[in-house]
Amino acid sequence: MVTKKLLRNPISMLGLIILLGFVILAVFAPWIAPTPERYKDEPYRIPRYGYRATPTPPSSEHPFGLTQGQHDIFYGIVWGTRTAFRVGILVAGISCLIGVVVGSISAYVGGRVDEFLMRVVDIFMSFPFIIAAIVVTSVFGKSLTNVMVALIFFSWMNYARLIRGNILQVKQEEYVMAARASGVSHFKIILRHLLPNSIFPVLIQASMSLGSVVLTVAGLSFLGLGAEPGYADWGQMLSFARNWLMGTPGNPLAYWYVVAYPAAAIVLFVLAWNLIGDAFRDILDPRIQA
Amino acid sequence: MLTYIARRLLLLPVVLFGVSIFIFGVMSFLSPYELVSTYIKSPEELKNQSLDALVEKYGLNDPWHLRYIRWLGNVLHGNLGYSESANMYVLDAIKQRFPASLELALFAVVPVVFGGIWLGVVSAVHHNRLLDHATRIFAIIGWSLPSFVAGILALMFFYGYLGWFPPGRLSAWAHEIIASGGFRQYTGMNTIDAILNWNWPIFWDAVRHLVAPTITLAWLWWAFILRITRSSMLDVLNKDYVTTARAKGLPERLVINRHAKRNAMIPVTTVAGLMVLGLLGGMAITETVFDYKGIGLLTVQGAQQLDYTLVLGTALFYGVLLVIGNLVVDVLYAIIDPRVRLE
Amino acid sequence: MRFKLYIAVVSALLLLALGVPALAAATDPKTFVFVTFGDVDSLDPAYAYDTASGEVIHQLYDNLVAYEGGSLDKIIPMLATQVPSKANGLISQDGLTVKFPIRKGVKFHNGDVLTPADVEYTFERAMLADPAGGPVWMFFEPLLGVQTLREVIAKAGGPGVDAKDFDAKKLDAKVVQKVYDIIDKTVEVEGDYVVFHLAKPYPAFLQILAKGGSWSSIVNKKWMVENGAWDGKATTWPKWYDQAKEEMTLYQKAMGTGPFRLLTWDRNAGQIILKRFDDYWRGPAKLETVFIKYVEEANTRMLMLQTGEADAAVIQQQYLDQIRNVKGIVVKEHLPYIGNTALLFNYTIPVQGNEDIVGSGKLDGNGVPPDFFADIHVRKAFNYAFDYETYIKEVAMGAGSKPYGPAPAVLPFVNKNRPWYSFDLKKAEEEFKQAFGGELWKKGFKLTILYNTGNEQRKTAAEILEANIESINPKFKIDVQGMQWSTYLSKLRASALPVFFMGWHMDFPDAHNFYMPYMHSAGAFAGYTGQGMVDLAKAKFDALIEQAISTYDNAKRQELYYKLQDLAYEYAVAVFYIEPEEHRVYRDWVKGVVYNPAYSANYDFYTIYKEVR
Repeated sequence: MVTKKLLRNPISMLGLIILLGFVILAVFAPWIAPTPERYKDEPYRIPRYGYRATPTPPSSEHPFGLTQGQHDIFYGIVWGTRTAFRVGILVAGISCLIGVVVGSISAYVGGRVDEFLMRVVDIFMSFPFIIAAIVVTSVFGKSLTNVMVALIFFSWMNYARLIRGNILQVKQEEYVMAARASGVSHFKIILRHLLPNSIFPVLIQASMSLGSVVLTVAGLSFLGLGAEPGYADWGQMLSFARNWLMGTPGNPLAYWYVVAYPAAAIVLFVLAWNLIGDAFRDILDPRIQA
Repeated sequence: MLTYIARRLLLLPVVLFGVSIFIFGVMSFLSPYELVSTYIKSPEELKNQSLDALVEKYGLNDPWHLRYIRWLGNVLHGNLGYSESANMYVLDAIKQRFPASLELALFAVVPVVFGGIWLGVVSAVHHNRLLDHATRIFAIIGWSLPSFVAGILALMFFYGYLGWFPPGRLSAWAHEIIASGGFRQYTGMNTIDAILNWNWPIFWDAVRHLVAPTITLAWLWWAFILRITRSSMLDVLNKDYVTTARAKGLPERLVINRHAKRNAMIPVTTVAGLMVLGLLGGMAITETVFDYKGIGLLTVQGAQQLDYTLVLGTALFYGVLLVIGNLVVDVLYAIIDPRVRLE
Repeated sequence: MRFKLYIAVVSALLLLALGVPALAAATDPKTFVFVTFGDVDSLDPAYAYDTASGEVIHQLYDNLVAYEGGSLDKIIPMLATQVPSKANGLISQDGLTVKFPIRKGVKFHNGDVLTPADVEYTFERAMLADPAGGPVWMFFEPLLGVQTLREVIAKAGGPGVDAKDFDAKKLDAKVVQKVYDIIDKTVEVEGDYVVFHLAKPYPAFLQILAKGGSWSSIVNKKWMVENGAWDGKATTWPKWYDQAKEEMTLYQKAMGTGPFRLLTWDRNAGQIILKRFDDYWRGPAKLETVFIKYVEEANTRMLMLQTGEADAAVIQQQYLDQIRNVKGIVVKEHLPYIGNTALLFNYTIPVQGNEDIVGSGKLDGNGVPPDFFADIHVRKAFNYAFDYETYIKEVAMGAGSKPYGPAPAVLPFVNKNRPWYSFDLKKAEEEFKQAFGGELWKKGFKLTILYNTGNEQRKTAAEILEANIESINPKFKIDVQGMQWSTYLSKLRASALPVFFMGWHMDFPDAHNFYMPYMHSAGAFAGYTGQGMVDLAKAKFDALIEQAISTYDNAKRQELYYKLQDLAYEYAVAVFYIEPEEHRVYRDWVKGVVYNPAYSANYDFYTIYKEVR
């Protein structure tokens, strides 16, 4: 039913179409932008075609042009799609997993454990996230992985709260009571009875956060925390594009390609998720059932 | 409710302890020679072999729990330490930089809320029609923009192209007046100080510097307000009294303005409080783009230089801000909406 | 609806009202705005050792002598009325005494008159304070032949240089007195003269004292003592020894004789504001107010320059295309810079705990042995494998030239008939074939080149080497990795990096200032290049370097430095790959800019004025 509604809504349709395009890009990256022989073992390293410190405009060999330091923009965009999905899925997935584990234990066991875990959640929620992310990456080194670790560390709490609330409701249902009374193991009860009936909203929330994760990572890249220049990551490419906006005298758009392609990629990717998410929320919002 | 507030406040020391332990814990992975990098910013500064002297001078050789105890002792005496990256005492840095960020956040809230509400109403009134989709997509695009891209584009347009809204917080001449002692800084928020000093040129100058970041932040946040307004508007529009009003033959504009809008505003107003907190937390990027010297920029620069005295100080400050801010929002929400009970 | 129209009109008008004054505001001919990045470290001349601090100190203080205009060799009087030389008798025949007649009637910013005692105090205070990592070694080396006060304390019977938990305040009273006596004797007042007593002849001494060296800025003794600095007494100095920088008297205050006085160091808004000093002894400056603003984003700095809000800005070389030829903006390029960048080798690479960088630590194709760079053929091969021209043309955008050796070509005593290695893969191959008796060519190696993250130029330099060396032999593997600056620093300290990039910018314009760090066993980089290099330096270089700085005889110095340059080549001590060039970017209404590569300041605001049409 939900799928049908999503497909009928023009907003989510738009989102789905864009997203489909990115999935195709990601899956077929090795064919769309083949890795040159020299870089075979490091496909995420954007090939360099020279060393010059100023960008080179698009040409037939390099349809999107070359960045400062002559990295191929087309290659970076295509392979950056994989990076975007990887970052989004890993961060959303793992933090969702942590949230679900903490939240369900908290709700199922209840009492002191619940109280304790919820206070831990409170503490994490009072943590200045950006500072924490910067500290983690400054200490353990500037890299995409460390940015992801920092993000996961500070985004599981919402899932924990959400699943806890849901489980607390389901917990009172008769079949759960019955299972408990008949001595089914706690682990089994959570896994068989509680989670399947409460996890759906959490999963939706997690998948909807994929776009914003990519956006946050790009922001951290801008602050100098993400991947190194030359790594196929949109945020990195965009963050290095920031100083090429003025153009040359008489030609304010001289370096447009350095900015436009990675910006378009990131905005479209995030937009797709947000459009779907927006439509989704409409569908799930009980108040808008006109 | 008082017990609830008290319980939440009791959490505060725990939060602060957790925050400081976390940062110290992470920092404990660093060797003294990594920590000393705070004092040497690039290989060019490695003039003579003084790394050991510096390590000794700043006590970086001590184990981290010793440094933590030393730091804690100072904090309990009200001394947050001296920040190498900010070149001032941490407490002074927070006192001077936070009002700047707060000023920007407060300024930004106005267009975000009013613009967002307006967009939300338009979208709800034209539910599922073209205008609804158009406004939503417009707002969602803003929500999907990396904030630094939006910011840089705004700066290029308003400052580079039009020459209107410069980066920074004040023009050179205004800074000179302040530095020469002709202007008293009561709050650290330039616009308010200017009014208190009855200095209109500086007031306009300060406002001029606030416009571009405010517009940027507005677009980024409209989708957030739009969504809330829209769904509560749609909710209200389906209510009996609105239907009745319509049935009575009231013009649609009156129905919306008199009946629907007012009732739909309740959740929006509470969210505005939450938004100030959100704005403050994510300000670092906007401040970097517009060279707006606020606390976000300060913290980011400090953290990048591993200036842990500063990072700890600002983290504690943010911790207090978030705990109290969240509490205020919760309480406000409970007061406005009687259905909500604080557990 | 009409109401909404009102709002729209009113806000549009408001926007215009706010915007238009900015358009109308013309630049003020008496105010100068210079935008750069970074921030001042300290305004205390005894502590400051970075260019951002030097920039400000330069405007606030004067030195005993100065360079004339943009020249490096012509030194003119400043707070001293004569430049000492053997010819005028102010430098003694043995070269050990240097006398400065002090100018009369020079006023400090508070109206105090300069006396020879101020000069004596300046140097003695600096030496007794000797802040860690500071510039004071430049006084110790010529005056006492040591590098730090700790060495003097050790000589005077105090704790040794390596003693842990050293606390100057706990020193024995006798040692305190003796240290003071030693320092006191180095600089003395004789009537209207200040006399320096050198440990040995030191031909670069005047350059250390000349304007441009912020450390030699003359301070006001009376004012200093009143403001809590060292009181000049023999017994009290330990209280001021190596203070925290923020506790030092001149950290954020200034009291000099320079053309500008400090209005504020506004750390909050990230700027320095300077006001003209009307009683300046050379006559008042033309500018009334100078702003030095710190703006991190290059794009924002460019915009500020374009709109005219800034009169001058620091813009990195690669962005110059965006402002070159813009109407109203002057870009002065290819200005000399006294410094260079090199890739240095570690002759004794530690293996244990360092496996992530050196791999197996053996000559087996999966790593490098500890003595990898101790083999001269490997060093030569690396020198041949670097594409200097491409680097200078493309990465440095043509702003630089190929070095001749450790000392930059702008300095005297550089033999320009002796070029450095050039890019030649054939020769690199030959050298690699000879390395380790041919073993290396057969087995191959795997090496990680690290650079500090954020430094794109170094990354590219490493990648150029990577591409070239890997093309010589498929068994040669180079991996380029970025590393956090902090981690990089600690690896350097542990001399764990097999190769590393280093830039050196002069302290004073003399070849000695370059041979010392790059080739002396006690030089700044010796700690990072391993025991192998220390041994080599002790055997071959040290004596020559020391001889060359102990004579005023220029012919002799030239001979020695030529020899050292040859040795640097012969032993391929490092890959010296660029001597960068400087540039300045300012609005066309800015006049009177004097560029001197020996200044730590970008601009000397005293000579600058604005011509606004």
